[in-house]
Amino acid sequence: MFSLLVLGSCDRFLEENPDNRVELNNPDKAAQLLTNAYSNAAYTFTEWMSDNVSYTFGTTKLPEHDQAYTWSEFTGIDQDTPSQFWTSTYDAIAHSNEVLAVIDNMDGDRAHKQAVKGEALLTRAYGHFMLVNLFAEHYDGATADTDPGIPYVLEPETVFIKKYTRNTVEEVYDFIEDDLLEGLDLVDDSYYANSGKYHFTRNAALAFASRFYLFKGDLNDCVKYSNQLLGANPSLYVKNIPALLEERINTDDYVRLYHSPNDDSNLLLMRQISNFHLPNLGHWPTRPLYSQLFEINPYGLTDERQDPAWVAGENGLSATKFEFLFERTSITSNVGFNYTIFLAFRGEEVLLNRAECYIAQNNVDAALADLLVLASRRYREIPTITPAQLKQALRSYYGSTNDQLNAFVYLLEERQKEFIHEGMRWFDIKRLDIPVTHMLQDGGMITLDEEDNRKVLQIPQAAIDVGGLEPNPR
Amino acid sequence: MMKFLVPIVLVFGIFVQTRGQEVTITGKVTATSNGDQLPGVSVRINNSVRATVTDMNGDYSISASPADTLLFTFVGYNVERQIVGQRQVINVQLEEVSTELGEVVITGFQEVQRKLFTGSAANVKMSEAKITGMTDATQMLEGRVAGVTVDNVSGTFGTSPKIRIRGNTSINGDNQPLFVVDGVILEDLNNVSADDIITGNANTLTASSIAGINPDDIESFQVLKDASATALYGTRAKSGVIVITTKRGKSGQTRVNYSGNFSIHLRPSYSQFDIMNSVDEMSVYREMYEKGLIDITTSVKAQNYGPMGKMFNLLNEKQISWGPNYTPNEEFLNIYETANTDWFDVLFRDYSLQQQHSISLTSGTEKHNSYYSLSFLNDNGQTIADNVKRYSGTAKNSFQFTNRFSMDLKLTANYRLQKVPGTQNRDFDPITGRYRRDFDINPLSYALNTSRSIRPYDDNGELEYFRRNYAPFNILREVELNYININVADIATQADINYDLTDNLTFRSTLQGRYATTQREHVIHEHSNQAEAYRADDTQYIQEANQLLFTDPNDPGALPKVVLPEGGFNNVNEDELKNFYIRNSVDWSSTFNNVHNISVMAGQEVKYTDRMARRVDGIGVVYENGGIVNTDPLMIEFLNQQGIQTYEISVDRERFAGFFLNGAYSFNEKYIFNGTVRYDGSNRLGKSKNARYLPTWNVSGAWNVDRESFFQVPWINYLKLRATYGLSANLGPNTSALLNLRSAVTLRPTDVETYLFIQDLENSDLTWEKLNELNVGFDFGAYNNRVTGTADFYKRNSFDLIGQIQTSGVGGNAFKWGNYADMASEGFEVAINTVNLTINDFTWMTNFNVGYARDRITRLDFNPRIADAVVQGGAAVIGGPRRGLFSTKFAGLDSRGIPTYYDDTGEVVYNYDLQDRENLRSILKFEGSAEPRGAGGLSNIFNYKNFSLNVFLSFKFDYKIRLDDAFSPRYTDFSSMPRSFVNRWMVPGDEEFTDVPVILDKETLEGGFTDYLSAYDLYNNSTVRVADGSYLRLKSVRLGYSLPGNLARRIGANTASVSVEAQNMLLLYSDPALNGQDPEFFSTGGVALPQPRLITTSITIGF
Repeated sequence: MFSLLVLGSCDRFLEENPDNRVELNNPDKAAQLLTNAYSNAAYTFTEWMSDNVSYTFGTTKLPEHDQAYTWSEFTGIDQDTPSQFWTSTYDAIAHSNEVLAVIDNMDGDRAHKQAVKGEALLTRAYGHFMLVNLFAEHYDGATADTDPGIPYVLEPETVFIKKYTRNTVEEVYDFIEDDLLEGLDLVDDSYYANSGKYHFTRNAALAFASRFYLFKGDLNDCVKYSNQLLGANPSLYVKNIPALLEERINTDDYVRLYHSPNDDSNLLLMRQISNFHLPNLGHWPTRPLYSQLFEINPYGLTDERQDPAWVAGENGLSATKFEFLFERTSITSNVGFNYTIFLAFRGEEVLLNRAECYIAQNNVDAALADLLVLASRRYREIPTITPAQLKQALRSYYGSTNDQLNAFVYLLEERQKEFIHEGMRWFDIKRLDIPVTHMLQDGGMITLDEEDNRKVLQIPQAAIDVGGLEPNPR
Repeated sequence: MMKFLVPIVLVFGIFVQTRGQEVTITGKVTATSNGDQLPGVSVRINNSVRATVTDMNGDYSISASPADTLLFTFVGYNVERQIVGQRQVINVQLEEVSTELGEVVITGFQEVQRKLFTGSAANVKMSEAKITGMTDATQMLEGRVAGVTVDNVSGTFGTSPKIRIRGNTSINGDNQPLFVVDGVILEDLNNVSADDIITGNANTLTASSIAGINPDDIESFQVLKDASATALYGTRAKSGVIVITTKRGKSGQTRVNYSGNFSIHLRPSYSQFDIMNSVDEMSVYREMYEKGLIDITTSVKAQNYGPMGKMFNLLNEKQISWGPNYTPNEEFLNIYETANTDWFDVLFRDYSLQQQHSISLTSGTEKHNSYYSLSFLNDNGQTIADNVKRYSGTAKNSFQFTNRFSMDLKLTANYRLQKVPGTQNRDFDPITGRYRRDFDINPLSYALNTSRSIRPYDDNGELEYFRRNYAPFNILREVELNYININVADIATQADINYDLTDNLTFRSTLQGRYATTQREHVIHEHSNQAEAYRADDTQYIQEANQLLFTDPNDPGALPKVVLPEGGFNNVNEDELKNFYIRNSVDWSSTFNNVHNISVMAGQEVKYTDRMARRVDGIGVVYENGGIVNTDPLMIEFLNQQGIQTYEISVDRERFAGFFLNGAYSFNEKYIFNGTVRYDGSNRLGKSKNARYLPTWNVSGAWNVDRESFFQVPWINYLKLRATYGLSANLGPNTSALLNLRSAVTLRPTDVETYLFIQDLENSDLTWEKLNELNVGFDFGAYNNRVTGTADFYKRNSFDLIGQIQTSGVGGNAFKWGNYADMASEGFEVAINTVNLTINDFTWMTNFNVGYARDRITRLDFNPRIADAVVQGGAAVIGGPRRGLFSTKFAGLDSRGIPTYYDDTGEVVYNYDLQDRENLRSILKFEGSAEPRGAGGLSNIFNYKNFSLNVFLSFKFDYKIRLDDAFSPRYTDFSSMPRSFVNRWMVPGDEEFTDVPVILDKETLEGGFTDYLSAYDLYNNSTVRVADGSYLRLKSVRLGYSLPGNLARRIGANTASVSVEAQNMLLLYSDPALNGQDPEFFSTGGVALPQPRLITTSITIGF
């Protein structure tokens, strides 16, 4: 009896928090925790695997650069590796799960709680969506229920070592769809401070839905959510590059305008710790590749996207999209991390997603109309033309009368140009079975086949060795 | 236990039988030394239980037969044997034991007679260990106790030495023993992690509380080594315990004692180090000029420059003229070529004085006694940039209220005022694998690393400036304008209550309250180089290169600009400690039939510790203008953009509660059994209740073999065998079982907001780090105790250690800390004390001890990166010791003089992937433990009449040391060069004869051959940059003379003595490959300084 009493008071004495840790007990703190539910790892390493680059001389090549370029297994675990993307994204997901575990039973304003829950569901869905598309086969309705996906994590980890298994791609997509739709329903922009662009706003969530249904092959839903965003005036969500070029004072300023949260086309901004954007590192489009991409176009006009550009190495070029920012470990030190602000969702993508659905639905005119909205803000002094005129132009440009195919090829080229250095090309290569050929330093060529196993990134070594996850076939 | 005691009593009762012809023997027992009557001496008939004790006058009476042998035993005295024979009066003189067995062992919880003590413990009396002139008492333990390793990693006042008792018990956590002063654990002033001691960061100076203790107040140290000795400390004792007992008052005459130590520092000199003179240096600089590394264009935009750069800048400004055909101005260079500056002379003080004055007073009656002491330490400093003052005071009063009730009250306070050179914390650069510390003005680092062709003064005796951080620099001016003021105030009060409830039952209580505050104020004056560096924008080159200038995003197109238009910095760190401690215990002890002694102790303790740390950076402080502050708003933006906060606050709350029970039984002082159980709880593991509590236990036994009747070895005076087995524990590092969320501010160009992040996920499996230990040992005395000694062997298994593992990452933490590592260790300790010679007034005594411990990590799932493994301090790798030193495998210089290495396949390469963890063992060479495995000491004491000579050597062995970084792909004319540069690679073919790499030419440096550049970083960490750490040091030599009584009285004193002592005079042995680098000292810069060489004159007078 006595000892029970002593132990009881002892327990209270020992309840004291040992430090300044924060307790998750109100919706404001839950929202602050979600501010970190956005992965700070970049997936732009996929650029080095894509046909956006060729062998660049005179740059420093870290192991991940060569491994990506030759589609070998990545050994590193730090920035710009699949492993870093994996761990950092699951870390972001853990933040969402901590919030989702307690939000319903938390004290506080119900509407605020609902909005927080919405953001948590969206961040959880987004993290898993990016993971499944990098580390598993692209969604294929026929095989998705057997294709191994990634573990979909629905609750916080509370033990030292927990075992996880891979869900199938179908299961992962189902979980994403559930979280996405519920999140879309609950999210409420009015609770965000500042521009809100570093969070899933309703617009960003719509863009996510647009990408999700496009990747899932659900054209109607893709069009539906794209329409909800684009509304009557899609050009609102297309960056006005000629205007930016006009406005900028110098190149640095152009970059800042490009990813400014005030630009309506920028839907979701994320801080990413990466060396990707440093022109003296890795692989870049070589000058011939760069001009082949931008200079040859159906209009024969100057593509505003090709300039300004940094010189990368001896023979490469880097479009100026990223600000060079540095996180220093202390004021007097030159040690730290390079980081940049990355555009996770842009209005242009939604427009192009919708156009792609229209093409698949053989609604070529509607698709070309969308593509012209983009073109009018990309090509210097482009005359006003109708979709019908563009259709003709494409016929002669591609030398084919298959308008649907012409539109599709043109669309793909626009996607490649619009999102160069942003990692999007890799998903197109993957979902559309595009082969990639790379020239090596000695002039030799290597090829990534249409349905190459290596298009599915290998599960990180630690997750296989320690976590016991099934590796992808090689 | 009681149940099985009864039969033992019965069995031995049988032997009580009459033997006839008995007579009554009487006598008096006195002490040999002073003839005092000894009350309470046990008088016993051998092989019988019949016994008595002497009365207040030392008299006894016992019946015995002529054939019996009487044994006279008394604590602190040698056993005396007398055969009765026909005598009826037997008077005996007992000789005081000078050996350990006579003592009591003070565990902090209780005092146990040494012969009844079952654990492994060593006592060190201050009077024997004292090295006059040493300011930190724990440093004196070096080489004194077998199994205790003391690394005095820095000689700067306040730096606690790295102390290990029996090696390491944790891989990543604290291995420093627990310090206990007068029964209460001495909390550190602030939390400095285990590996931080060697960083040289300013916080290392204010970590330890020991520095506040005046060594003259210390009576003795008790080092508790094995699980039995430390059992009562339960979950805090894994790394051993050092119990410090301070002096207390004595009843009787009032006595006043003064002691004064006057020490002079001897400064280091270049002869101890491997540094080029300025003539050789200039030839290297000329080579650099010839290779295009220094010329007029590089010099104008150089971050740092020495004489060569200065010449080119003056040429550029047309202040001097070119030599013939636009060659360098030789006349100008010659001035510096012959400068050969002795930086030690410039920066270190000659015969700088350190004084310690200490005065104490004791007085008392039978009812009350007191001890008061005051001390003052003033050290002018080894260098021109450091000094310290310490004031301390103690008041101790003991009251005997009644026969049963007594109380001790203690009040201690100390205050420290210290100045050290300004320093920043060092940073680890994982890209190069090097530590960096910008703006370092540590005088030793400066002397070792700065070109000797740079001069402090010009021809007119004015300060001469060169360039550092793009701004003018002169070290003499910099140490005046860039320094840290340290203030420590520490006050504690303690009460110890003793109440004898009955004759056998005692209640004890100890209460302590303590408050300490520490302040470090880093003054960076507006004219200091560190502040001026923020204003260095002389040319466009410098504007573009200077990292301390700000590129304003709102002012596109502008060059980087100054954000510290005026003023310097005032960076303040404050730590506050509040500590309360209460312990209550009940002791019960009884002896049955004179032979069965049972004692039981039960108790409870509670500790409450709050720590608060605050950092405030004042920016733009104009000292010359009364300290007004002008902070440019752009500076704040500049800092925010890089994620740097100017204000930080953190708290640390520790709550601890424990219950303990200890039982001891001894039979006839022959067989002793001891057992302890403890149950501890702490809040450190978070709110999780399953992790919060931990029971620990221990069992031990001892056998005093000499008390056996069959043991008839006349030359052995005592022999005790001991054995212990038990569990102890410690809280590990990074211990939090609960979800740990922290807040921070987002690092973005816009949309800045507060956010929370997951520091640690919940870990409901977390528990304490634990240690199982088996110890066996023996203590002996022989030849009238002229040879005494002790030896111990132990095996330890540390388990549930906190280690880091890599996870699947899916849960959110790619790396997790948890109980995932085990470490096994074994070792031995031997200590031998001998009296070698006693001839008339001459005695010669020797104490020798050695300890050796080997640890091996048996479970640790996760290796460090190659970058972490090759650093100076070593790294934890499975199968290796706790800190193993690893080297890159040097494969010679290539045909251009660039260093090359073998990779894991044996191929010759220039670079490794420093981030690699997988192939660490096959890529790197394991050199050995980076921490000493063996250590010991040897002291010889010679006494002749009133003279004494004490020669003390300490040694360490079996470990490896990484030599300080000396090579770099790019050198400047600001840096010194190692003397081995004379043998550097100069022309093809030299690679056959030398390992010293070439000075790279401009083309290689700037051609983007990054592999070649990293080859130099690997070189510093390669197999050729390793030395054996073993050393033998003449730690101290002391010659003392105590005045004979009549002489002392002539000066009005009762006792007086003088001594002269020299410490750290020389290394008798160290690996020649060290080239003068002290194996004990890590030259990390910052506030670290080597152990000073001191010559101390000491005077002690008692009135």
